[in-house]
Amino acid sequence: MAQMIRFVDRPGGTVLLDLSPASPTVPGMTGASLDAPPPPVNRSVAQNPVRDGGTISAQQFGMRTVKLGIRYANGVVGQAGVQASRRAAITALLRVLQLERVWLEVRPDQLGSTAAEARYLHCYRSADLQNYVASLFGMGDRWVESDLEIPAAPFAYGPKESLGNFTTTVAGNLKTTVAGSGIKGDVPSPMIVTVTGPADTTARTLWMASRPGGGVHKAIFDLTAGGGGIVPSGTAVATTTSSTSVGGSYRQWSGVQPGQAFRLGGGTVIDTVAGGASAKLAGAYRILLLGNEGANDQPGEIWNARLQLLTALTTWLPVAVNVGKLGVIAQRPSFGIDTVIDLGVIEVPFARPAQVAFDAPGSVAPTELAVLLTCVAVGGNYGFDALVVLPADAECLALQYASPVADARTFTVDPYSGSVMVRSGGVVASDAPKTQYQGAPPNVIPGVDVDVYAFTHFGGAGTRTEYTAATLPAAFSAEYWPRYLTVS
Amino acid sequence: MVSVPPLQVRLITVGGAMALDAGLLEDVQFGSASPGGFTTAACSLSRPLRYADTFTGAYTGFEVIDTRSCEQVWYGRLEDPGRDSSRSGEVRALAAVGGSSHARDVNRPVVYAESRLGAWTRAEESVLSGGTVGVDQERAALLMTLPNGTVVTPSARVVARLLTLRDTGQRISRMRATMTSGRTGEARLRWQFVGRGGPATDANLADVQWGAGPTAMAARLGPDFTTLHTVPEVRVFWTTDTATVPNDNTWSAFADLLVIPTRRNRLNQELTTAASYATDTTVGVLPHAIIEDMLGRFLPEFDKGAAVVDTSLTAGQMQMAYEDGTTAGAILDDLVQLYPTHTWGAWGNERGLGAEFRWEPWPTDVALSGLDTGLDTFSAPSSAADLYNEVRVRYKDAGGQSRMLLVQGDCPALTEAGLVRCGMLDLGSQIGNTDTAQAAGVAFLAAHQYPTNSGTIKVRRPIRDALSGRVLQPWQIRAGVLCRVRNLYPRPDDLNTYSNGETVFRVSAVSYSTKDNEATLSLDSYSRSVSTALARLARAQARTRRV
Repeated sequence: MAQMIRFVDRPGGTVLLDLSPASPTVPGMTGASLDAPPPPVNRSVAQNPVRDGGTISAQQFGMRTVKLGIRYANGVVGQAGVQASRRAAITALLRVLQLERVWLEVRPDQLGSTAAEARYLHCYRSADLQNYVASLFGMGDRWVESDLEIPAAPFAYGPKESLGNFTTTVAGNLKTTVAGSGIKGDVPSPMIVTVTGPADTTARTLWMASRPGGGVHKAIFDLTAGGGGIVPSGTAVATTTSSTSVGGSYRQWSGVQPGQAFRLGGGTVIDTVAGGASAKLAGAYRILLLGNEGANDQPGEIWNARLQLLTALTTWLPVAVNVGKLGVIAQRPSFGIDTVIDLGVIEVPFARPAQVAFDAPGSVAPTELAVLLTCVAVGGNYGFDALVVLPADAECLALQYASPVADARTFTVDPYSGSVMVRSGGVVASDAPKTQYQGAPPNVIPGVDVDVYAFTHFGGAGTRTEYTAATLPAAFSAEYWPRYLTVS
Repeated sequence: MVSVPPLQVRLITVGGAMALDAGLLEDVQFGSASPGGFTTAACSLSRPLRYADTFTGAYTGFEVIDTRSCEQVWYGRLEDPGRDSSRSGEVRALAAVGGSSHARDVNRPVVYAESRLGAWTRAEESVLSGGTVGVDQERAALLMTLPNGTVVTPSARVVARLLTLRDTGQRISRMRATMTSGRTGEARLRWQFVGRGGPATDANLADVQWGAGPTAMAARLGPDFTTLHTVPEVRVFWTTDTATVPNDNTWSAFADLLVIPTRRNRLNQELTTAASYATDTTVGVLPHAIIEDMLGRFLPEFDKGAAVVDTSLTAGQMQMAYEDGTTAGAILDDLVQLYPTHTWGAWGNERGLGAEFRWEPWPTDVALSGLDTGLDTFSAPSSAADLYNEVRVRYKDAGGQSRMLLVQGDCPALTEAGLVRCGMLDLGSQIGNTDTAQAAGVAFLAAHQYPTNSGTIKVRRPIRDALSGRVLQPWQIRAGVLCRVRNLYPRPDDLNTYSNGETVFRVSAVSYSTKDNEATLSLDSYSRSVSTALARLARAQARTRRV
């Protein structure tokens, strides 16, 4: 067998037991064969006798079993020292196989393969160890051979790949692209995202959302460009110049009394960057309102906001597409109201499919939306700036991070363990309790471009959310572990 | 179809939050109901039992996230985890209850409206030893007498007090009564409302000249008194001279006696302006005012800014007192019974500030329209056992007497069979009077007039939601909406007035399991009372709409 086969403690890590004929850890003990077919697929199927076929409600790659043939050649039973050397070989093997988790590294050629060609199978303690030991002792030839069945995780991983650094800007539509042409592997793999916080203790939130196949929509909608007015008079509110606003200005609604409402927007919020219909507009979107509160906080303010679907600029349908809430609670009145408001998720086209049967997806017209903002209590002033439109049908991540001291720390989202690693100067720190994430980082997909929309704001998870135009751009670096279905 | 349900389980403690490794979890289940909101969730977590319960202890926040959008699909708090060690390994059985459980956390007394005469007691320090205080059952009034031959001196009085507010932390906002008496023309006698237990020793809240009546008397916070008191007092007061009561007619009957205590807003601040109680003595305490008070008084963990409280109901309650202690859940149960048009729920915690509470009407528009008995698994039990054409309603009247009221109605199936089935409805002692009992009996019979459309349907595929415009995966379906099931002949009710081979149901509960990516929807129909009341509500809103 010309393959390189060896047990390692992690991909690219320490060799625990090398079974390659060219460099065996135990002289004479080598891998004779390896059978590692793609993992099985488990399915949940709903079937009903009144129709043909059924519905597959869920399917997953299941656990796999790797069959590893091991040959040990070391003299004939009865010769001096043979039993002792066989016991030593068994001990070396037992020490590896009894580990709760161990990685099996496979390369196509034991001599000519590079580290980049390595595939790593995440293996678990073998249940067939006893059979192997019995067979080893039970034969009296010059060499013995036995198959060993080892349970393993579904995917084989390649060495970790770096995707480099990414940045998004307001002018660049808060979007960056991960090209699919260079992505390795057979199946999608989650990105491992790292951000570096500025040298301060301010809590921040990084939003990332992906659209495989490329997104065409406008991710930021300037509300000063849309229509709107006070309900029901339709009176518009003044536009105020502000360097902290997205478009250099925002709308300021002043002297608001409880019970008053204002309708914002009235524009094609879900639109292509170039304007116009596109088949790629179809999908789900999460919409966030950027307000500009300035120094206008009033203790006890409570506001309600909801998105509305429009059929024309002058028609306000009584259809609440989704309801978002904002406001102040008694426990923290001095914080005033949040300025980054999650309005929820909508889907385009509204309540209708975008394709019929097996046809190609139809071109979807831009969708007009408005925001209805109602003052529930206290009132005062509120500024409206822009809407951020994130795709919401692939992966979405909200990472909240803060350093406990003024220290530029790095925060790495690990989707494999569901946690965030914090490092200071390259050293792992454990004193950043305000660090957490929701959702999932984007997947990279071999051969498919993935657009990633990302922006940053202050606060989150119980602290007031704020932003300025300068803080919206996001910067992150990304890596991934390629996932393969086979080891060849 | 989805490959793997994109769900993430997170545990949230004061110290932070962590996403659980999906590989350690088995069969995540969660559900919702209406009324109630999120109900329970459960999953198994493989984690050695020797490890501390740092993130899996009781009251840890438990949420399920849809990783496609970061939306929260379930939220609640963990109960003490079960721990098992077996051939399956070391497993913690995580079980969580939704925000509705918080409605049972706090038990305390509260009075929203007190009109029961039996709650009034004769004050021991009445400066008239022979004066009596009792309940006149015939007049449904508090009867106070100065007996014939009693010698009265200046400031002599007969006093009755309501002491229940001493332990509720509430104070008087409004009082009202209608007085009659057996004697006229006595200028030295007066009817008075007095407040005690406040910072000042006494206060004349209202003071009216004695007469034959009927005479209405009212006292309001703000216009009539500014000092807040915890003990309301009604009295017959002798002003001047010394005299002897000449006959048996020196009695006063205080009918329609009503005390409205102060309430709080959702921020748990006592409402101390007259405007907050403007209609309480005319239409009663409105349900949304009760809900707002409850949010502040009983439900500190809910998100106050996000709470949605519908204000469309215009009929209030004249009797609602829980002086022996109650919970928000028990009050909500009463409100749902009294206002069958409405439902409540404690839902997600998207903002991290607590569960979102909603008090709102049942919907009238169908949201889920793609369900099909040919595509989804449907099952319906028989429901004929729930038909009634009579009901006896037990309640306590204003005089404190236990009463039974027989309410009769029409049930076609029972009439045809020549049967009488009489149900029983107990309104307890905290709520209810004759009008309420009649209304509750009528609502009960309406709800049991026809066999209901009910059943369960199991959904394993995306369903389009016509109201939100979204395609909902099984884990996104929530209770409290209407759905339409194709290929199912309906039984007639207000949601199914004609037959077209489809049946409209209310989704009263949903339970979801990742095991098969399957949502089980519990379906029922609106009771007749709900649909009828909804229709009334819709008409009322249409009349008052201005925009």
